[in-house]
Amino acid sequence: MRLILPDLTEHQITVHGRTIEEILVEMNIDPLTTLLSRENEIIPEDTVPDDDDSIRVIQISHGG
Amino acid sequence: MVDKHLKICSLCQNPAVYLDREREIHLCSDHLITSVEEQVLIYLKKIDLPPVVGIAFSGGKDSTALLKAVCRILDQLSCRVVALTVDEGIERYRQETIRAAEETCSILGVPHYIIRFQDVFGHSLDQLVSGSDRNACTICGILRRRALEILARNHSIKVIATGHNQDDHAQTALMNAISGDVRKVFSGMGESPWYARRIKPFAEVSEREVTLYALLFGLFRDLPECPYASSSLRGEVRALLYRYERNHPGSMRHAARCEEEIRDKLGISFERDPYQTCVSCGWPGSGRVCQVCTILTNEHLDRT
Repeated sequence: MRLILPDLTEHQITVHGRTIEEILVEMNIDPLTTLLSRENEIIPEDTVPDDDDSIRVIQISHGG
Repeated sequence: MVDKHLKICSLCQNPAVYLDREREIHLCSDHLITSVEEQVLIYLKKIDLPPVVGIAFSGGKDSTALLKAVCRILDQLSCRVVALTVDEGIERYRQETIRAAEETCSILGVPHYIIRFQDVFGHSLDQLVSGSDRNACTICGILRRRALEILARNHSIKVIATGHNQDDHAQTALMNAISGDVRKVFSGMGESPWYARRIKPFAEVSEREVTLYALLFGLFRDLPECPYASSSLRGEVRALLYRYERNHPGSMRHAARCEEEIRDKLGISFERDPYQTCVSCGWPGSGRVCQVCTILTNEHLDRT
């Protein structure tokens, strides 16, 4: 899976049956501060992506 | 064949866009939109609305979503709406968000009024904090509140709806508990002829739902972040609450509702300090000189 973070950095990740939420938590990203899109469609964080998927992470809240 | 990589709405067979963690259901885009608008309608139906309601409209995602939601349910309400924007004067940030606000109002056909710090106070926020160690967010919050009141008064608006969502309420509740200042829990309560009534139609809607609502209508813009935004107690509290919400769904709602219940049940009996009249501008405040005049005379707020 290709994961595109809000700062536009890209990470190639092997899914191993994990949800996107689990993957984000392992990357120290709180999934509740994000929304996710796959091929321009919003998907919930408990989705188990395919290894071919490209997932974009949209940050919803800023610090401050 | 069922696509195991696709979550389905719990209320219909469309692809889900949202997981409601507390209710343990998935919602598609249509049901998410309906859910948000129902919460706003339930909130507004409880209020005796005047003929015109002002929407505090920064052009950001929360106030944009609020304006859109209220416009979509307006035929079920006995009022019309206008958008109220404060231009604080923040170079390389505010121009873009003001443009976004103007564009949204034009699309929605909503009258739009703008007031500038420069015109009201004689200085932009940039000028007020330039070369000083004064906290921009504190100054901005105090002056923005006054500017919004003046704008509302100029257009005879008695009620202002703000885009504060459930997450904001929960954060404020926890911050009030941490600060130990009980007066903050009850601040803003009670009628005053000086101030428009503030209402918060997104009080029961989470930040994620609000953002998703804006996104689904193509109203979520990747606008620049305020250059004065900095790490703060609110940032720490926000991170803490998100962690609780993830591990204990409903925590955010409970924290927000807890303070609301305290206000409802104890607000009448809580003895507040009476307003004093500012000797400089005549507006009500908590001291001999109000916070706005303190800022404008370049005094430190903690001296009042």
